[in-house]
Amino acid sequence: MTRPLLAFTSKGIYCEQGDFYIDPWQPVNHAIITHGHSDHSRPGNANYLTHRDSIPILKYRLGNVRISGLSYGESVIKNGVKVSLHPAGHILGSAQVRVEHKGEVWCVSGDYKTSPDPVAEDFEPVKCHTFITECTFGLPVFNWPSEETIVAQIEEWWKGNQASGKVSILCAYALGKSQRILKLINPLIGPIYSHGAVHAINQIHQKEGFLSGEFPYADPSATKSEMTGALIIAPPSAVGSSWGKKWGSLSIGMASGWMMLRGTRRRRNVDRGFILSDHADWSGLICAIKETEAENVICTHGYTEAFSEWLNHLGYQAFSEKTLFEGESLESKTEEGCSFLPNFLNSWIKPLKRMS
Amino acid sequence: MQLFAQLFEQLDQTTKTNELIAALHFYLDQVDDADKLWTIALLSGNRPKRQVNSTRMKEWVADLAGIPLWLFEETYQVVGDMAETIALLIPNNQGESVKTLTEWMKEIIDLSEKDDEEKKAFVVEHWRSLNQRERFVFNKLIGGSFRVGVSQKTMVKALATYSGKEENELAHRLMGNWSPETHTYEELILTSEGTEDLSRPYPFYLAYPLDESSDFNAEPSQWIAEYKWDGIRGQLVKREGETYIWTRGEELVTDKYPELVRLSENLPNGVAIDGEILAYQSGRPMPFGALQKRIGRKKVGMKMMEEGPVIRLA
Repeated sequence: MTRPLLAFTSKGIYCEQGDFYIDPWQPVNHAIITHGHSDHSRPGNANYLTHRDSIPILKYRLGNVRISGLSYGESVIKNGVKVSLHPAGHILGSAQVRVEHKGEVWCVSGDYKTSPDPVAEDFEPVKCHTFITECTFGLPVFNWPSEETIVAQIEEWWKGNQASGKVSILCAYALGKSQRILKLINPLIGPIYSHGAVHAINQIHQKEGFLSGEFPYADPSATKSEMTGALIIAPPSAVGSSWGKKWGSLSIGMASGWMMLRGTRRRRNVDRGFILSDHADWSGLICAIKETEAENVICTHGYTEAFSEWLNHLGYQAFSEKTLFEGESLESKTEEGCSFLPNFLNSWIKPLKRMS
Repeated sequence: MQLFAQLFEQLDQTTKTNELIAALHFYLDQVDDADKLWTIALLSGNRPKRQVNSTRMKEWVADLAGIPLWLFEETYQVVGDMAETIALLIPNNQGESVKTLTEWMKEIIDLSEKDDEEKKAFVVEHWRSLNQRERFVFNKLIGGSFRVGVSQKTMVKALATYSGKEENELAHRLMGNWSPETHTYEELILTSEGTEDLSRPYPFYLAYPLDESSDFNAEPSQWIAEYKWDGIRGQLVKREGETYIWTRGEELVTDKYPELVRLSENLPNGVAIDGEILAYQSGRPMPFGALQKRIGRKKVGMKMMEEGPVIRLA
């Protein structure tokens, strides 16, 4: 094979022919950004290209950077390389990057999920020769219950807390999952508030018409009587500090794909875990890969070793590449992406020893 | 088993003592005495011998889930719990068990009479028919450790308020040799005369972490330091002329320490001594290894007693 269309370099995924990077982790001249989470959109690049719905998010996070936007399906040509963005179903504006040169097509998934989302546009498989995929939840135990089941669980938990005079705090990523929950939850159950970090991202969504409703800022100095019975959406980092202590008795829930596992649930020491992820589950990953009709698959983050071996078993040419993408972590992603390192080392991305 | 699975889930979802107790009360109110006793036994770590080999279970589940064994192992390493890994790997369905916990335990114990194929048929059938939550609990009942987030102390507390018995008395009743196969709830928890087991040890007084950091503010002179001897905790009980030696894990080990039995000949009936059993020679403790040699033995001969004589330090 001649030089690959996309290569993994020390700065990120690079297209030499078109001279651009996709989600680079070191500053470059041209960066194509799949979505606004901080491990995929880092500061310091001279030019950003992303989906138009991601622009306000990137501007909020990175300041006044040079940035241009594309719609889904719209393409640009860079030195003979055709680049287009396609829905990834992960969060608002999240996109897969399709790269085509002389009939060869590659696709970089970024983060994605295949189940529907009330904010993000539905995932759309892209036919390609080589698919660069995440596999955050690439083990066969990760199969998500339906969204309705989980929302019903959250609502039931909230009502239960109301009955016992508690404040419900639900931990979720400030960008993406929080808005998804706010869209899904029944607002008639009680007042819903947002932690500051969530509130800021809500405003971006509201301004662009992706979210409606009142989810006021949760004031830490509010009294117990004001907050009892309320639901507060907060990033995971908020919990455990003195934040919220004034509101009386709290019940802490966490919404994450990791809540599938009893061990992570117990180690996090939250009162309730809700299995809600913005990433594809095991069958979602397998299905998505099949639909790309790709022959080659490169796994970038998650259980890359086991997952690529399984893909080989299924007949794909699959291998893994190391990146600085984090997948779904139980901590908040660094909201101000000033660090070029992952904010903590996930024990689960540690390459696992081969058993046979 | 629905109720037991629900209890398990509730106990798993909270670490607050009053919520744990409320969940236990709610459960005890709904099940019969036989199920109550099995629940007490399982939560106390008093469980029947494992009947199904875990290597075989891995093979069966890999087969059922359509994955190779190496992928099962990778997954198991991440999940960290065999019962849970299996429960999650099999596609979910809505089946619920109508059998009681006691009926389940009887079927599981009866597996000892069965061959591998029959065991497989039993296990696989239930993996297929139970929902995820019950499948997980079913796997826990079959074997392996049964750790759930409720301590013996909390369970006894719940049982005390439920039955109206004293906590200390209940803790004592739950010690020693009993099983749901040999005792009834009535005998173990409620009635006191006649069936009392002579060998029954007293609850061990255990170290526990301090809750409040203020406890650490006491003057050093208010503290008592104690040696941690490198032996095994043992409780010697003498009743009606018979001596019993119990380990902290409530194992009866009298036969392993004949010199201690002989020493207790002069003790009056009704005495209990809690302390450390140590290998000891020439006025000093011997390394733990010397004691260890005796732990695994059924019979301890003269030679062993000479090489690693034991004492009790109370």
